[in-house]
Amino acid sequence: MNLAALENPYKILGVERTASESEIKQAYFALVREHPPERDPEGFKRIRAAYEKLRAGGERAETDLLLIDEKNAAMSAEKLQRYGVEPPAITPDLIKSDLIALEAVLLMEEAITGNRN
Amino acid sequence: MATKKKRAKQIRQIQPAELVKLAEDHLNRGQIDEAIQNLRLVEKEVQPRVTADGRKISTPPHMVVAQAATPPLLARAFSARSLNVADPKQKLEDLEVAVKYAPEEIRYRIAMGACRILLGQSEAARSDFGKAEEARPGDAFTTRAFTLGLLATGQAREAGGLLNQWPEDRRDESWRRLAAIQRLSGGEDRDQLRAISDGDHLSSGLSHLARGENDRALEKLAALPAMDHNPSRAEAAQIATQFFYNGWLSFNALHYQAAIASWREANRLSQTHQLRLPWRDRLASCYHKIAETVLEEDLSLAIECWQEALKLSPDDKTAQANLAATRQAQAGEAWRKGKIEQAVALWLELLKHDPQDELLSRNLAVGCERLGRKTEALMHWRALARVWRRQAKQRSGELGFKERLLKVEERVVNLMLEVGMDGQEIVNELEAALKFDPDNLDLRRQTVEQLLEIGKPHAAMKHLDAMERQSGVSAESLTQKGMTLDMMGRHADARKIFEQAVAHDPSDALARRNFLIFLTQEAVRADNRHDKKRAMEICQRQLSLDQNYEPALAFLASLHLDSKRKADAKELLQRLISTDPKSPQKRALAGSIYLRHKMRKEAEAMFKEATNLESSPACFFFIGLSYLEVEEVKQALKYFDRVAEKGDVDIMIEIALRLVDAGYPKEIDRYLNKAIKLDPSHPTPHVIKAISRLLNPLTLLLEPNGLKNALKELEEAERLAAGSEEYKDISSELSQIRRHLEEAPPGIADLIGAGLPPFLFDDDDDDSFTERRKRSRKKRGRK
Repeated sequence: MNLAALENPYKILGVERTASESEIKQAYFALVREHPPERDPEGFKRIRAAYEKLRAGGERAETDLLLIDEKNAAMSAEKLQRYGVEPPAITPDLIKSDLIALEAVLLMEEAITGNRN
Repeated sequence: MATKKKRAKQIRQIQPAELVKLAEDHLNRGQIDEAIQNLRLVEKEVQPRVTADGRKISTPPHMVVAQAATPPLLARAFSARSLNVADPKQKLEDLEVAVKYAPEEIRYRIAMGACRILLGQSEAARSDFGKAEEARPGDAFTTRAFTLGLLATGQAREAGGLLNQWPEDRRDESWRRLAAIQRLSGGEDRDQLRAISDGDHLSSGLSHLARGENDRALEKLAALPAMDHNPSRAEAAQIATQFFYNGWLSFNALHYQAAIASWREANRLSQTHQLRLPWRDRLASCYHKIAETVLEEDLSLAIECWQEALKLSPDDKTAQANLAATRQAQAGEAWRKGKIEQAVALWLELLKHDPQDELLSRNLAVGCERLGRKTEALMHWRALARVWRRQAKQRSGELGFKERLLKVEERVVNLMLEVGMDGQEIVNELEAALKFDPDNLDLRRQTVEQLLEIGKPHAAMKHLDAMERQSGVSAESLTQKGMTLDMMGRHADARKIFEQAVAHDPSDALARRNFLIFLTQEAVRADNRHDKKRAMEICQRQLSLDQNYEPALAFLASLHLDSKRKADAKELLQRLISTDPKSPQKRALAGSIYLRHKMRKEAEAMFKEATNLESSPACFFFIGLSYLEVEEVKQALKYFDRVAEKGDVDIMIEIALRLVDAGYPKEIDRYLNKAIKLDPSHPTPHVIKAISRLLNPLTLLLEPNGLKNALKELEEAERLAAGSEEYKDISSELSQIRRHLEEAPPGIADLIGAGLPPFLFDDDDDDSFTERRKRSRKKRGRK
């Protein structure tokens, strides 16, 4: 199978990667009705080629194997894992506790090294 | 281990006083662990001893000094070590030891209290500070510590009282900072407020921030102190905190890039100085918040945030997952836009973190194949096959899983063949696949083929038997069995099986073809045993399978001619020609058979008919070869000369080689010169020229400068090979041969005795020149 020319046949037929054989068949016939060969030969060719790639077990297996999942081609909010922890609001208490901690660091440093801070 | 013990013994031999001195030196140089190690030894050495009945042994005078000096030095060492660790728990442990060794030193107790504040043990801290205050009441440093203890335990009013009692001349920076904290704790002293506004940027900035005056806070916090030196730990703590809040104000104003820049600096300072300030724990949530906010419009900023979050905490699973999903998305995007190399690079990056990810292996395999990186592609397909084989049972119900696994196996084997992997390795791969899918006939068939390819018919037979047990016999399986038996040397058994294969399905073309080929070999074997009758029977059997089978018609005709049955032979050869009356090859073949049986007239007539049908170089070449075979060199050369009129460089080389093979090296120059004229860049004609001279001692002997000329030709070949992509790799081989000859001892006998590299002369050897010649011919053919 030509790796370079592998257009997503699922996308063309408008079916999911998990679609059953009969779903694929149904989608194919529906599309053929919309794009009959006499009216839209190019469209029909594309649909037919896509169907061929998903029709038989072996062909479909190879298609599935070589098809890079385009679903992954975008990072969206749905895929995002939320951290679940909001940054705390800066309140006078929080500032105070930060300053106390800082003062403790300075005090400890001065106590041990003797350098005035 | 032994060295460590030895060192410890050596150290023990040093006097305790010397060790104390040494430890002091270590401490002064900042080598704290070494100092502690030595002091612990001294401590052990000088500890008070008692006799067996419990009486105290007085310490020898030379140890008294060391005994007194050790505890304060140990306290100093542990307190110093506490500064070099970031984890407050570890700090506290060290400081507790320091206090134990020097309980009278209030500074260690104060340091311990300060550390407890960082651990959230405010009450215990206040108690430590209280003890220090009791030990040295009124001391500025202890008052400062005590005030901090009061503030940490929420006693702002008492702290305010203390702060107000501080004399004016002692109201330094630390007083201002404490006053700022006291103000934030709810104290309402106007004087203090004024003092804070005049104080350092951090305190006043944060006071504004606490009152919601963000603009004024930013103004103060953005003003960083001028730094003309590396900041001390204390300075770094203050600046880092300033950076954090500065960043927070930017974050609040949605200036994310500025926020990230500030936080990065804050984190850098805190890491460099082993600081563990509480705001650092808030950074991760800030980074995640930004990433989640900007994800849709600025993916690279989101990535930057997750990377920063990972720097803070490498185990941050959310950042890891989001980064992986983002890279996956970027790779998908690159793939969609045709930037395959970029996509592959991103997938490779992701694979490092998740080597078992089957989707990545698959994407990489496909991507590498697209880029023509077959060896890499093979590696990824194999990785995928391994993962899938392991999952084969549990995923057996999954739609199309088995088929996909089979396709992967197929790809692996095909790529292994394409990249020229060792046959045994291919068999190993196939057998590994068979372990997981023993009923897979395709895999078993491929394994048999590979085993036969690498000359292991016995192993192949086991698989064939398994196939037979599994699915019964078929024309195909019987054919493979026949080939295997033939390879094992069991020709009679092979014949029986081939017969069975053809009988099983007479329409199976492959079975018939393989049987015909086998029978040809059988006929040749019979002829070699001079069993002409058997050879003829075999040919007849072949013709019963295919009445127009050319090798059988030709061989049987030849056998008839051997037995002087000319009429029968002629009839067969006529049958051979009539299968394709317009084919010059068939007439030329018939001619060559007549020629071999000295029926010159008939041969010439056939050759004439052949050339009338097609006067091509290939036809003349075949006829020339027929004459060469029967050692009619003149006639052969006549036809070769006609080839030379229109033939290409490869056919010229072929003629030269055939002439050398047949023992006529003197005749080759005109064909090689023609070849050189047709393609001056081709190194092979020069190589053949050189070899033909070297092969012939007489030429070397009689021809002036024979050896010199041969070497010259080799040199030219070497030069041309170096400049050609196709032959570049043999250039060094040629140079080796030339040097070998140049260094050979003088004299023909010596030269021959020196032994030339065998690959140039060995007919059976599949040497690189012959292979290259074939490839070159193919290439030219394509052109």
